[in-house]
Amino acid sequence: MVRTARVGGLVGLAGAFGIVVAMLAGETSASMGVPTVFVLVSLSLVVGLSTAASP
Amino acid sequence: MVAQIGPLVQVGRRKTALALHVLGGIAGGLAIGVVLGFFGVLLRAAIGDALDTVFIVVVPAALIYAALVDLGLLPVRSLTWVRQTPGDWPCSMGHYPGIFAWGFDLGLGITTRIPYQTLLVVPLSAFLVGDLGTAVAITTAYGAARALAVVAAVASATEDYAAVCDAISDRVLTLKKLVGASALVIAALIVIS
Repeated sequence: MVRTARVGGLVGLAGAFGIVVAMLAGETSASMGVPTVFVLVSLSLVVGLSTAASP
Repeated sequence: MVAQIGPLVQVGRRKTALALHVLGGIAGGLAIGVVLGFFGVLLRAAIGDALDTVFIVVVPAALIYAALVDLGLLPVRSLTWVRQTPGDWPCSMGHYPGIFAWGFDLGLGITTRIPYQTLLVVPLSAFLVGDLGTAVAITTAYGAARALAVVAAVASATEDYAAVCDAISDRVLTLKKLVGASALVIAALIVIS
């Protein structure tokens, strides 16, 4: 249970990090808005979190 | 990576080693983002707002292609290379610098084996977005997430890192399909937004 909570916490941390990064970058981006940046950052998070086993 | 970094974190300070790995991943993602963002800004300066149209067409198309390959619906040879992060870095560089360098190398995303074709769309979108801040955000998120995934796997293991690797390997095909399905959804969201 503790391990599951720890892993869940780390994944949640990554998600929160992505949302904050998307908001910061989206506000400063001239052509791309927050939604588009958030979608792109989400793609990065999905791919990144899925590659733990790959060297 | 889990099998390599797992035993190593038992040697020194576990939290320090894992934190350095995450910092390395963030630094790697940030570095490649700065490079791709810089060239993207140059491209925007050259072709102007037409880059937005290029982005809206090319990135979703690349996502659909990558998704079809990752889902196993398009039987073509995957684009990848054989290089892996050198396992001897902690020996040649030192314990903590080696662990940081592993994170940095993996955080770059394009210097090691490409497990999913969707991964290739991450640097492509960072380049075509034509904005330095957004490019850095995209690639840094990837570097951080990849390093955090390793940390999560190591944290969930009780010294039996081989078993964790086996468990992840058993789910590789499922993860590949999950990434492929996500790519399709994200392609649709980009077109809609």
